Amino acid sequence: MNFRLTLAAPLPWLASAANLISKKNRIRKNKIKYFVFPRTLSFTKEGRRFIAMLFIIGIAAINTGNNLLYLVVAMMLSLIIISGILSESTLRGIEVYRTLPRHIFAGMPATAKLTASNGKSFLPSFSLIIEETLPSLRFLKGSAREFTAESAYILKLPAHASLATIQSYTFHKRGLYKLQGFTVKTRFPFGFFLKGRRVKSSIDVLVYPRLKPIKKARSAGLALHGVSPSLLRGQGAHLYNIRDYTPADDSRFIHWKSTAKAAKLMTKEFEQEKKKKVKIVFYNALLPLPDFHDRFEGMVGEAASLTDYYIRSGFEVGFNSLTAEVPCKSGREQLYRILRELAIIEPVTSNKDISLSVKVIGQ
Amino acid sequence: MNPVRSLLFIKKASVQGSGLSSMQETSNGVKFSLYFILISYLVAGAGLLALSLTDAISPLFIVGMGCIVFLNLFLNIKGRTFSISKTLWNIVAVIILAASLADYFFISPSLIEVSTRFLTILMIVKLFDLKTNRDYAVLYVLAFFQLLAASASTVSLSFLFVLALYILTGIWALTIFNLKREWEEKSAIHKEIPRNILDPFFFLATAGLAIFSLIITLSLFFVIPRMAVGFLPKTTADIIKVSGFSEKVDFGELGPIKLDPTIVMRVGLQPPLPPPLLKGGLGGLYFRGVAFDTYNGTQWQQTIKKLAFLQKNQDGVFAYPTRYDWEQTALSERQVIKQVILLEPIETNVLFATSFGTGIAGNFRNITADNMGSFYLPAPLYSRIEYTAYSVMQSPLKGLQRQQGSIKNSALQYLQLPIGYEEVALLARDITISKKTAFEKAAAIEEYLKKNYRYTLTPRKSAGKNPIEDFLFYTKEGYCEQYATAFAILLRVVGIPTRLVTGFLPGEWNSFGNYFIVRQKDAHSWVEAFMPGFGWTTFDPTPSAEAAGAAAPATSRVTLYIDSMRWRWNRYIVNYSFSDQATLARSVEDKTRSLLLNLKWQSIRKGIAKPKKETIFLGVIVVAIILTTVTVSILRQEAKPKSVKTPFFYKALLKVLAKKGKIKQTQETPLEFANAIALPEVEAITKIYYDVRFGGYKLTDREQHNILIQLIDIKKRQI
Repeated sequence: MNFRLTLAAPLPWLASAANLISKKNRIRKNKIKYFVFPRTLSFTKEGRRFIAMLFIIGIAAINTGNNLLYLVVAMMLSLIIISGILSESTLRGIEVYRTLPRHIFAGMPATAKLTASNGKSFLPSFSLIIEETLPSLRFLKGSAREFTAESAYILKLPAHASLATIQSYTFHKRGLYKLQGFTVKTRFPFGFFLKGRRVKSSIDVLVYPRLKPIKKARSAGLALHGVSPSLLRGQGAHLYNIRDYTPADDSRFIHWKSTAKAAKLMTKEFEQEKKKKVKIVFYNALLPLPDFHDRFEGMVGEAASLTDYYIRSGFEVGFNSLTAEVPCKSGREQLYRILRELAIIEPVTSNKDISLSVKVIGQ
Repeated sequence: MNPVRSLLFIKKASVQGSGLSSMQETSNGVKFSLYFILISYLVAGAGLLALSLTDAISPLFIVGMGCIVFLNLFLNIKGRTFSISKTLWNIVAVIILAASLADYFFISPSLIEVSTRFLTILMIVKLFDLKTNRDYAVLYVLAFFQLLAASASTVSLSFLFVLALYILTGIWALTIFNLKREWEEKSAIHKEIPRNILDPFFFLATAGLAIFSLIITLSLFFVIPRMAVGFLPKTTADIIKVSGFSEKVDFGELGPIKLDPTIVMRVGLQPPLPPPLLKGGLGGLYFRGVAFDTYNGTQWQQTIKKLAFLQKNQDGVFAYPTRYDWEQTALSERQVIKQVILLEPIETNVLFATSFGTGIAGNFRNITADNMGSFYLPAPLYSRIEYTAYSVMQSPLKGLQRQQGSIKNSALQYLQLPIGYEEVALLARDITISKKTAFEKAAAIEEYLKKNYRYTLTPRKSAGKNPIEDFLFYTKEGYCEQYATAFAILLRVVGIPTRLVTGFLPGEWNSFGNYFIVRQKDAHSWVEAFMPGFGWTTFDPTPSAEAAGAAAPATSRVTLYIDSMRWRWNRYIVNYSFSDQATLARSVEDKTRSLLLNLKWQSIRKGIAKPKKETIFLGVIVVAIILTTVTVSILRQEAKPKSVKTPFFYKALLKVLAKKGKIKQTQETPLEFANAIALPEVEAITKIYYDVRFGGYKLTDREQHNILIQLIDIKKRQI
């Protein structure tokens, strides 16, 4: 028998007892938890009934002095001990990793791959619920972030094996999320207790602002400023280059002469009639307004949406705020560069007399 | 497979969707649902078996219900389940409850009986309606209640086996039930649970756990604190009829029971006696019941009996007052024997003890004793009881012959004689004519009876005026009653006070449990005679007294072993008490102390000096540090990152480069090595290596793929 296992079996009880004692304290002072117990433990509905029954039979045993009732009480207690040892053995040696997509937008579900592996050499694990550990108070302090993550369920994880599942994560706000790890929970074997073990697997996730479609009125307004992407449609007249054909190219522009010469498909590249450039300027000034936070977030979303809109329309887009500057470039990488800035942008106090706003400046 | 590619192979069983579907359809075997049904019925069976232990329910009922369970199981396996709506189920439950209440008020007034019947019928009805998880949960709870009902109304050893069976099936059923329920809750698609969950290992492990659980159960049982309050165990239905322990005993009453093998009591002795004493007989053991002083020709009676309540002394023993006659025996000649007696439910309130009892201890509120040395409960208990009796044994042969003295006044009451025993008187004088002391006379008469009469359990009838004349002058055969009565009368004729005593011979010695099994057939009667200057002394004129127990064929060793199990069960489980717990704790304490003393003694013998105070202090600190470290390491274990090995891709890179003659020297850091090679791919992989190895970075699939491509590139390149 695994001695460590037996030794560690009563720890969750101590943990829950300690938690109960210190709960009052924690809520009042809202203090950081300095010491985190390695296991969490809570009763299920059945567990509560089981304990209630145990108490009633225990009282009956004391009252009647009937030793066979004592024997039944001892049996029920032994089931609790067995349950503790089994759940401990099922939780031990479980490691969980997640792989998140590169680009995650606020409010959009992101699919993550969770891989759980059982490092035990002999014992399988049963009935595992894998949940992303929600950040504790200490991480909520600076930038309050919220996210939801689907929990995964694994019925059996044999010894030395790994299982991968796809789970959906939704980050509700932009920003930097510090994911701590997982809580692997189980009700195994009898469903009386829900025991959890924290598995460390920390990762920083940068979540871009939510993208919104640009409203028609807004795009019409932009057109008045001469920065409407509609003016960019079409290609210039002058030939700029002849290069290898890629499936992404329009087949109408295949340069047949060169194709014949080179014995492979060649396509024409035209000079753009006009290099269109815009700069998104975001005055992220901190203002003493009652609904400032919402307005600020709205502005961030607008800046992001505009960047996306212009990049997709082929513009070279630059970004300027009171705290950051991204020079003009085109392409999706540029979009992510700007979105990264917008993901972490915070309002700053400014001595200049400017109001909170997003502007598009055509160049 | 490409060697590099094989390096990147990760052992995994990729499961899509909700992470569940991979394990289906992999193995063949019995379907999970079938397992589940079978195990649930096993639990129900264990519950029913528990109920069969209670005397309240007739075996016919249990057999009938068992048949219905089997029929139901058959139907269930065939998939023919009955659909009972929730309303109908509730109505049925209410009807059963009403019927049970009617049963309680009008038919059988035993609550246990009614409630067990109620539970059983409820369970049977539930078996016909097993659909949802809730139904199964209700079934398990009902089976558990049946176990509870059994625990409240039986004391049989079989309960232990039923409990073990219940633990085994219960652990199986609960585990599988829980897995099934969670699976159904969590899996999006309601598929049957994969079969390979339940491999033989699962069942073996569960069986092992059940044994482990039983061990924990028993250890907890002894440790759970008991209250010092005295409670009596519950009544059992089988009450053994006994003869010879009422206020009157008809002559010949004991004869019929001398063939009855029913166990009456089991007696453990402390200290263990030397083997010669383990047999009955003079100077041996006699479990004394009651004494009679008056014989009227057809029955013995107690006419001078005076009852008195005994006082409990500070040791919790109801001690017999010391003013009694036999107390004249010199102290040095006494040996105190402690007897732990487990008395079956018998029809008498007499408490037995070896001659002569000095006190009784047990869970009793009060105990009475009469002036003839017998102990009584206030009323017959009709239940199995355990008590401790303390007795002193005499060794009367030493110097009895020389004792001369007067008979005490109190003993003169034991000289009563019925009318019409002149011939008996003549015989007595003939036998004792040359004897002077009381002891010589008694011994002569005892010898005469033993020599000239034949032991039989079926004496003939004859033409004598009374049964004693029949025995002494005509048939000359009989059993203990004839012998003892004749002896008592003969002694009284010559002026020696006597009383007839009924009780038991020690019976059979069970060496497995070190106790006597005393049966009905060990019932015996003998005589106590008052020896002047000495006191009451036991005489047994029956010739076959010593052989009485051996007359029956010896009990087989298996039976003895099973009986010893029963004795232990009753002794240590059913009758386990606060005082037993205290004794256990004391013995553990004593053993620890003696072990420590032993160690200390050994250390002194080996010449190790007695540890100084500083050493002890240091020792305590070291132990404290070790304990703290162990605790902290267990608590911190989760936070500690696992030691990281060199990532597989870097090893692959080194392998590829080594083939090209670029071997990394041990003194080189990976970065230095990469700089020396001066290839962008190598530098890139080295950078990722640093991230993974020291930054705890986890590679994505895409990154792994990129590394693979870079490795292939490096392989192709000339360096």
